[in-house]
Amino acid sequence: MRAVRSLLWLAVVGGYAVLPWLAPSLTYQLTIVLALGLAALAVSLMLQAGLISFGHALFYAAGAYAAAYLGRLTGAHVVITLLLSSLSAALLALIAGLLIVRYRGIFFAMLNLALSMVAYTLLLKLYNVTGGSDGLVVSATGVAGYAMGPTGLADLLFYLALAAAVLAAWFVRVYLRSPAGWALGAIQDREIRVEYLGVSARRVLLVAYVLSGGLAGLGGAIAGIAVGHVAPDSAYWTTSAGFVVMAVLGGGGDVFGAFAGAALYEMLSVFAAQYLSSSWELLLGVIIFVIVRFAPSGLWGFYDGLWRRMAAGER
Amino acid sequence: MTAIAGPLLSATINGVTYGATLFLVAVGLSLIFGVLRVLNVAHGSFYALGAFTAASAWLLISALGWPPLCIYPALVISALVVGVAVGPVVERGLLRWTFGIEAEAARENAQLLATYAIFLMLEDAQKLIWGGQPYYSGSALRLLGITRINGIPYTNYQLLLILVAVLVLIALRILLRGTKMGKFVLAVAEDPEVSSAMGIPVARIYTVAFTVGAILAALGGALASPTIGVNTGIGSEMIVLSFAVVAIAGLGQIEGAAVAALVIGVGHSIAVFFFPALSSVIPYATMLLVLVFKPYGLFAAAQVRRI
Amino acid sequence: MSAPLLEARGVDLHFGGVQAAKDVNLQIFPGEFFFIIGQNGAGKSTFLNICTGYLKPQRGEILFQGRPITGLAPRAITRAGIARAFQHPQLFMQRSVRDNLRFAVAAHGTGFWRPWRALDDPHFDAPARRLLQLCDLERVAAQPAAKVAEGFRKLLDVALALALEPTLLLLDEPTSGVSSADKHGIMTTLAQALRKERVTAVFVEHDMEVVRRFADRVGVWANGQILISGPPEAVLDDPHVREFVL
Ligand SMILES: Nc1ncnc2c1ncn2[C@@H]1O[C@H](COP(=O)(O)OP(=O)(O)OP(=O)(O)O)[C@@H](O)[C@H]1O
Ligand SMILES: [Mg+2]
Repeated sequence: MRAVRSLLWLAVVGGYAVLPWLAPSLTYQLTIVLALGLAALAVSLMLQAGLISFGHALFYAAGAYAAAYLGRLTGAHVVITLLLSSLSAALLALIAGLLIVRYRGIFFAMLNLALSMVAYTLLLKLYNVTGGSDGLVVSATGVAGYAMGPTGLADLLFYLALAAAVLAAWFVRVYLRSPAGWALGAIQDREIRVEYLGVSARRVLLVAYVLSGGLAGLGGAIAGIAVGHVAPDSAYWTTSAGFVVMAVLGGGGDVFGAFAGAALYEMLSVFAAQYLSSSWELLLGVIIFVIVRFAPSGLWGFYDGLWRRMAAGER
Repeated sequence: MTAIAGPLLSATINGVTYGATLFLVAVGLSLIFGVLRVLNVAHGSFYALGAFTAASAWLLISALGWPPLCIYPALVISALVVGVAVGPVVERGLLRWTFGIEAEAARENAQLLATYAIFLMLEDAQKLIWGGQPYYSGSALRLLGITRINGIPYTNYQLLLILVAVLVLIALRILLRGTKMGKFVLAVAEDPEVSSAMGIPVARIYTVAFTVGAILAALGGALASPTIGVNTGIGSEMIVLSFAVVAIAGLGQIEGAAVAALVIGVGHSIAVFFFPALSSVIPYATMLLVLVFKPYGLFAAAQVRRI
Repeated sequence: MSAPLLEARGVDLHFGGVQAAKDVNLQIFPGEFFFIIGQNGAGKSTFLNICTGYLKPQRGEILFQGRPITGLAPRAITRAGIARAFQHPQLFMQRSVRDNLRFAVAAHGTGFWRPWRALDDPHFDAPARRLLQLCDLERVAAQPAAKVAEGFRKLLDVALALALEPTLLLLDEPTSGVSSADKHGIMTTLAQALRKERVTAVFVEHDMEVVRRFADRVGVWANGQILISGPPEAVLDDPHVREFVL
């Protein structure tokens, strides 16, 4: 059974990898799904500790703006740009995290929100540095300084994003099984016991928060390069809320959930933009409500339940 | 009068006016949190609905050729209509189920997400009903004339707004401390289980508190509508601002919310005067600063959990 | 006599009008089982909470191995060698008994921060197995803590503390909420485990038979104060104690 499930993963990743060949016009959208998935993964990492962040757009935007600045440096290779952008966001998360990991529940949600709104306002108002509401152009060069055509770069970016997503998902999975990752759920359940076992809950959360910031920043950098542009809206609180929605749609249970949630979210938004024009949020609201109310473990819970039932049938 | 004092006074009066609106919305949010323990993300939408309804009332009054002064009672009626129409439906229909969730973290998260879903629905409902264009009912602002303070003109409406906020604060105090219903509300806020054991109809109190909170948010929106362009998006901005007020004051604090709203209102207006570019950072920066030193807000105490 | 392991000097704490600790002076010596008795609300749990840093005393000092630990955070005190079990077991309820223990082992030993070492790695699992055996928890190892009987939860709560290889263990009513038939069994298991690990222990206990059987010394709490302390026979047969406390 386990082997079947592993094979299925390979098939999903492999299938995703060949999609741009089958439908080249979708490459951009597919890359965006991966970028959003990384941000949703970042949010679901904190969800493991029962903490909802309504401010992760801060790190997403940080990654994208960092990519914009790095692009201005001559010869900033796309891989290096992605790495450095992600690191910048992680660094920002370290600084913010020193404050934020002291808070739980609603206060955690609100402080994240406040920080991201400060960033949003600064991005909007510090025109000379950030380009104000116009934002900045994000550019990246291809392999080893060779100029690549726009489609070449788009393809390269897609495969880099896919590789980054697979690596990140794999790492988060491994991390969540280690004591420091397991501790996240333990903190949600009984923080007092964690402290009475001699473990600093704040340090556990800070590590997760930095990792989470780095993942969101990576997502932001990928999206920034894919779009070719970044604007302050990427830091607005509704962007953060979107990531939360993806994480919840997917179900916090496993790393795959975040990507499934992002894909569903993006599909819904494309669909709604085409056929519903103005009622996209209405539809999204109804879907979120139904999921929270009736299927709190999301897409992942649905999928996992299916396997459980099959395993039970086998016995 | 020195060169700086005049503008400073002007900024302060503008700030108090702004703070008055903020207070109305935030105190509703705080009331809902205090009693139901729900952080209502949809609260900004109640504010927006109040503003849109009031703007429509203005259009209607103009179209019917009624005396323009009718707008003032109409503002209050708009708020009541919105609160009473939306509040009980949201609380009973969409939130009640969350109160049964045992684990605190899971319950809080379900409530955050459910109210966010409601926020999204109400945002689009606004677009469907009122379309995408902004509404201006600014002429309602001038009906009451102006007052000059140190030679600077203020609309009397602005001053009226401050008066209304003060009246609401006093009324809340009297209602909560002096009436049976108010005492029930305070008891439920203290401990719903004990209250229920004492025979207080907790479910009804929840609905009442939520509806009153919704009315207050809608009142904030209705009263602000003549002073702003009523547009989609005002709700999503107001919710974070009122969060900031409530966090600075401490969750569930009513008089504290008034102080915090004043601080933010005046701080914002003074910043508009001295460094306009950064004025909108003020509420969030204040909130961050307060929470660093007082993690539960200025007026709320930390509670030691018994183990 | 050897130097005290734990020492309380003039500890005071009140909650509003309630005096939960009043000039508490106490010495705990290496190797002994000290039992705290007293009526509900006497301040027994409060004293343990002060010793472990959950509550800060308004006056007085706590010394552990001669060093002051007053005002340190629970985590620091735990790291110094004092572990505790709670009146209401503080467990990771959704997780299996086994995983609870593996986590406690990881918290104490090396490798907590290594992402590549999973919680079910033998490095954590082997000590956890030993503790399961020691505390007689093997039967329920695979079940979530939320699903097992209260007696097992109490034992697991102690086992989590034992995983830290403490010098001193504080146990707040380890047998409350357990049928009186099971009480002695649990206490026997615990006492054996503690003696084997050479752990000094402070118990809070309401059952006088248990106290008589397992205590080296007893202290009687009333209104935040220690009324009397000494060997169990002397204390439990004291007419004043018999009349007012038991
Ligand atoms: N966090 C707190 N806030 C206020 N009062 C408290 C707190 N913790 C304990 N108290 C009070 O202090 C007194 C002592 O409580 P404590 O829990 O220490 O009693 P105890 O001896 O352990 O009783 P029991 O046998 O019921 O466990 C009680 O009156 C209790 O109500
Ligand atoms: Mg006790």
